[in-house]
Amino acid sequence: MSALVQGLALRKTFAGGVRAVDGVDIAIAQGETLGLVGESGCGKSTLARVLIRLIEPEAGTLTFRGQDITHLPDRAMRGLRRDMGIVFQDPFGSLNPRMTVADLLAEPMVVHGTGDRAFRRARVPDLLSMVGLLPDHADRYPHEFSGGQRQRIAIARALATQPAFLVCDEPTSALDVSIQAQVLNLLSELQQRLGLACLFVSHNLAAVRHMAPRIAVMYLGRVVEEASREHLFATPQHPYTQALLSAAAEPGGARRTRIVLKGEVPSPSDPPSGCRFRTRCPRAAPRCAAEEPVLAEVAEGQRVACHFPGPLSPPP
Amino acid sequence: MSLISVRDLSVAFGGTRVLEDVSFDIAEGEVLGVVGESGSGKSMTALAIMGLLPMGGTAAGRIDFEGRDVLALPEREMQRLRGARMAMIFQEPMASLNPVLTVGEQIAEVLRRHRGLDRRAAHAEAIALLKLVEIAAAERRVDEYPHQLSGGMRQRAMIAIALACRPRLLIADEPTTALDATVQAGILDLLRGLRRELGMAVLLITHDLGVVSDICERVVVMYAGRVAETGPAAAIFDGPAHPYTRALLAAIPRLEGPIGALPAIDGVVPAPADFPSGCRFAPRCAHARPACDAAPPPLRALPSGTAAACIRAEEIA
Repeated sequence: MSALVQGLALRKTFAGGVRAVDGVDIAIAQGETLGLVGESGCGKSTLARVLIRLIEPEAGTLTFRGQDITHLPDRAMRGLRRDMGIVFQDPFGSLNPRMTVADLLAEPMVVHGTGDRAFRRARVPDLLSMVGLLPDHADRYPHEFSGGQRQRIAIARALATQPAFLVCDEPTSALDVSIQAQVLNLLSELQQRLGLACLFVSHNLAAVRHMAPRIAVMYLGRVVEEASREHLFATPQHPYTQALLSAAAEPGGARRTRIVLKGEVPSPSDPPSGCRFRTRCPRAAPRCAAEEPVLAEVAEGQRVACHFPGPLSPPP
Repeated sequence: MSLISVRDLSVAFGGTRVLEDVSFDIAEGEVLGVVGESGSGKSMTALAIMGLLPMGGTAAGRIDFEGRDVLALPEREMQRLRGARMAMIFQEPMASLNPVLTVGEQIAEVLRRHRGLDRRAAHAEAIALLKLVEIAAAERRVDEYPHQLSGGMRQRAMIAIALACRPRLLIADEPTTALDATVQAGILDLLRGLRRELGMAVLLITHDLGVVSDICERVVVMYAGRVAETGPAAAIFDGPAHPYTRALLAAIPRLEGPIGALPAIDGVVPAPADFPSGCRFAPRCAHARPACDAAPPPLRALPSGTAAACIRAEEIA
């Protein structure tokens, strides 16, 4: 499998020494959706932005279609950006309220010099119908739309330049349940129809399961487990993944035995030595403080960064 | 006997009725979930009970709490009730806590006002309350400011303030929505424990059916300012009778089971000015008939164990 987007040993530290992304390897193939899940402050949004260089990585290597783009000059990078799109969480904050929908959809094409004015004008209704809106929505302003419709506009905008890679950063977290389903359906239909590579970032495990055949779990700046959705949900091996799954509240589901994590997430500017999860981990042992675990394959397609990986309760 | 009994509660702003004919009861020590999407009126219901409606809002109907109609109480009496007999916590603890006062001072404020404790006693009681909500190192945390606490600890501090006078009813409006899943789980466990320990009733307002399923005994499902369905949580989840409840449950991505296109609900919740005159869900309902537009359907008890406001509930079951 050749990766469309690949990051190796990516690192990003913010002011105050916050190590948001601290040594992450990640790869997304052409046409593949990778889910990225974790709690606030784990670095998932930073990693997503680093992958399209909206945030510059400070260390590591980033490749796109096999080309090293880590230090690609701005001008050359701009040429590549038409191949990358991003949909943000808040459709109220990400659309300029003073632009009409037609202008919002045409802008990325103007920036990238796609076609002439007539071409761009002709493309607007196509983009609108692609996301389930009507051609006569083109002359309206964002405030005239509901949250779900605004997110559709944001998706159309991200797809205006026909990117190969789409980052979706919590695209449905600000939406109501009934609207969330509409937007998830739209995203997965577009992903398949257009053959997009997609990074689907969310704190919502069920939404990630729905969208992504392969899922990575982040904790405090690092990927702690990566697996197919079948493995991740049926046989999670990292104690953090297990705790996260046990905490998810499923409507009408039987109440699972909850793994209550002790203490609070440590500060990302001063993460614990060795394994970052050890301060809250029910399996922590002396080795965990001394030696940082690396992502290692424990089963086919399942990689875990833990010295003591394994199922929750050993089979009898 | 019910601790609180809400009867035909309506709330209007000018000529616009945002809430209409809402009725439910909460027994002593019971956890009732009020669930709905944005604009369903769930938060407005809570604010009406607390006598905290936004400017211009007027409530009609009856809200009997411990034998008194709180809608008819003078503001002075209401102030005595609020904080002492009923208390409320909100979604965003950082916005509800005063950033320039320590956590202890904010708890003490309630204790001194409602229970007349002196400074020293209030401080000691504040520490006891922080321990009750399971904040570690309470003796130290009591003198810290909100910004020094994590999100989960802030919500625990809010709960401590709300519990300061041992209210009989705790209204929790999206108490875990701003929190991470693992932190949310801890807060729900805490609420469950407190309710058992103190015998306090909880009105939990949420958009999250997972939270409802986790902690609530009975559920009120609201849609566009009216009650769509109500019943024991188990019956609501096992045999939802209202097409809205059914559609809502079906639209949620799950942790188990098949993966495919989600059965989404078309359209959006109407704005209060555009509420249909008949069934408010009819324009989005797959089972709607012309008769649904005639009049608002009344809540009817159904064999499944819930009561639903749908004239076709039996046919589509």
